[in-house]
Amino acid sequence: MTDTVLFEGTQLYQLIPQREPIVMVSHVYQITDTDIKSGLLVKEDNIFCANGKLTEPGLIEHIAQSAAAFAGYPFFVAGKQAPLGYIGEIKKLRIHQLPAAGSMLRTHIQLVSEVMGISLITAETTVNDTPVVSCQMKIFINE
Amino acid sequence: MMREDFFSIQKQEITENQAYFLLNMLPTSQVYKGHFPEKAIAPGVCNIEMIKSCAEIVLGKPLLLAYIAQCRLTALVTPGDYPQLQLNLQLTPIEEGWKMVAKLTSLTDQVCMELKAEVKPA
Repeated sequence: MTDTVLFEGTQLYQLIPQREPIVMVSHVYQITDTDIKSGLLVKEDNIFCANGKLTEPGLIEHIAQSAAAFAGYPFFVAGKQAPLGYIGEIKKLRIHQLPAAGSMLRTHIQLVSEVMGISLITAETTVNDTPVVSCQMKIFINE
Repeated sequence: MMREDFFSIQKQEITENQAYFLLNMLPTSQVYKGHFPEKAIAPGVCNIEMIKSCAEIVLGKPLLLAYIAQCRLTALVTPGDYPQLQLNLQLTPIEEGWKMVAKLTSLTDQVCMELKAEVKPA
């Protein structure tokens, strides 16, 4: 797995509209027209951590914000502000484990289709190549 | 953090594996500082977590949200426009836990979220 970092930390603010305390993407490794590879270093003081583990809403929000970064990239390239985006639908989401604080989540999001501001994506998140969560998601982008 | 910070329970009626909750959405929640700075919108994932928290009350034990078959988010829930939400919850025992069917609606019965999921003991 490549570790080239395109965006990290507050550089992500150029791609996503979310701000602390709810920023759930810390790294972007790769962006193409059809996919994005992102990451989240889970800090102990993460708003969605409980008993030393990242809980379900944190995992799902990480995927949603990774998709938002993917959708926001063309806006960044065009010199525009990151658009607001919303989850429209989540399907077939399976949570295999809740990762411990300190873990590095790695996520691969692939674009399935994009029609009139609605993106359908699939997502796979791992920690050390072990599955953590996978799902399909529909994201609405407010242009 | 969620239960104290994001919502409070105004009313609850639990009959076996069915439940009705009237929930107060707390506009002071820290999530609104970042979601979004210019416009407070309840994160969909926090509404899902709120539903799970209510299921934990019904079943009396901590739960893991293991699977979401489908979750449709049909309204942008702002704490200003939606100070209260109604939750109807059904929990049916299955092999490894419970099937959870939930509907989150406004006081005027506008559907905000429909969730079909599976939970199991945490």
